[in-house]
Amino acid sequence: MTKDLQSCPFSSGKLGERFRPYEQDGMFEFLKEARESEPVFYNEELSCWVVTKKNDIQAIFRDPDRFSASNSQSPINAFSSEVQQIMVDGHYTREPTQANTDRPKHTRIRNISGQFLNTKRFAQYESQVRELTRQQIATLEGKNAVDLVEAVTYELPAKVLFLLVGVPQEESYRVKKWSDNTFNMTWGKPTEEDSIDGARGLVEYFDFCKSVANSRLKTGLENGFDGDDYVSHLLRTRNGDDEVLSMNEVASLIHGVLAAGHETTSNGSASLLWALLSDREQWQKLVKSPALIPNAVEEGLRYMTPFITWRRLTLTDVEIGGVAIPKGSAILMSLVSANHDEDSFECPMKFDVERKNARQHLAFGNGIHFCMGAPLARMEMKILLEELTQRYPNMRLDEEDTIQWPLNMGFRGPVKLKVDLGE
Amino acid sequence: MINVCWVYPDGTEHNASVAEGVNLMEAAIANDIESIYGECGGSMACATCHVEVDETSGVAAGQPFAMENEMLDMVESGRTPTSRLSCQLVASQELDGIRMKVTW
Repeated sequence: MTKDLQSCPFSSGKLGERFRPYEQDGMFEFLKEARESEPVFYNEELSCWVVTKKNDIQAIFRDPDRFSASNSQSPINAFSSEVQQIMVDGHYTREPTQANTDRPKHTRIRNISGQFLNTKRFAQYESQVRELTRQQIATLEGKNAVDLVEAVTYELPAKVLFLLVGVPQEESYRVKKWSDNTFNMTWGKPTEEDSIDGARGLVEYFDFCKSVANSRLKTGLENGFDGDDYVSHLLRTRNGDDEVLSMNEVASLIHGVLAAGHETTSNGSASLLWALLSDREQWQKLVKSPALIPNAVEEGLRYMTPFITWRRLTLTDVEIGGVAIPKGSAILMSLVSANHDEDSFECPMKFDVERKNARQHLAFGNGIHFCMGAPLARMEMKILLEELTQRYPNMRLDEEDTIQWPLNMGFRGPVKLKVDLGE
Repeated sequence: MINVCWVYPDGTEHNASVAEGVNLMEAAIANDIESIYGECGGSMACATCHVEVDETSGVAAGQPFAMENEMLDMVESGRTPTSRLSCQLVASQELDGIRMKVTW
């Protein structure tokens, strides 16, 4: 059992007022209480209804006619006019294309991106992903105490994404920093000063995405769109027709895949390693039986849930878990709570790499917006565990170190993960 | 109720009675059939409920349409002439006794 998940500093009082969406400490205990006593409650701070039971959340995901995805990536703390002006001046024209789009636009775009982002295509990258993973792990040679986040899990998933998008690996650190900024601006709690800097970062990031789209277009017009990367696929399908896909949509899709495609995997990988190393018996099982690794990945996604909440907007009056909720309300689905729902998972607080139904988690969502990158994330995490358990079977958590989590109501993963490689 | 049979790669058979109107992805999950996940909830966005319908049941199961057809091309284990997404197969008297191979 991992130690930091147990304490509950949230004091007594009305459930909605005690909800601390940005904090990790006490989260699991609080959500357990919510599932038992008030599974759907209102939170003033975020102005939204919080839903905590798995069946309720799955039903919302599967009902896009009544629950719009349009608010899912809106800044949880609205931008000030100064911040908005920086974005207008910087021609920040990023538009909803996938996760935060409803039908029919969602269907049009998903059908195009799904031709590339799918299990079969991802499988073709397996040997390259393994090579990148080995190269990253090779940087640990000669060291004993390392921060696995900094050394491995932070940058590696971005490098994998760059393979697919066709962007030079040298850009990965810059893109990671921009992505961090995007997530802090959307789901974090930045000060006004940070937001002003952050807005400039958003503009720079989208400028980069536009430049990738435009330079690939230029190359394509000169030499043909025969590249085997994601952007070439989008431009090839577009074939110069804005009705099929506009250039702004292409740039927005590049932004989407570059941001969503690695931050979640970084967090998921670091969280999984933390959970495994917090319970050496589980780690040892994988060292001895690598065949358990795919299920361990699912259990890590269930237990830690790299993206802990996701939002929807009611398009009509609805009832969730017996609670009447009016049209136009924001719904916050606690995915991490769904993944610890006692009605769906036996002894949910136990991290068990052999759990039979681990894959029934909602870490990748459900329904028409189910994460398109899920097969890639699974493959990356599996390969990372295969390589690490074999190369460093004696790895241990640095006992002196205490785990730290970001102040973020969506993305959640250890800020650092100090280990002794056991060499 | 109709009888449904899932056949694993090692040849073992898993039978269940399924109420008419229930799709066979949901039925598989309810019966703990391995390797059927139905992660997109039947919206043809994930292909994690892929089955190969036994030739003897193929005619009654019918043919895949548009979106299902596209998703079947992306199945990692490879598409066969009788591949279907089981979320698109709904239990009915015509499908009584259907046999499906599960792949992994």
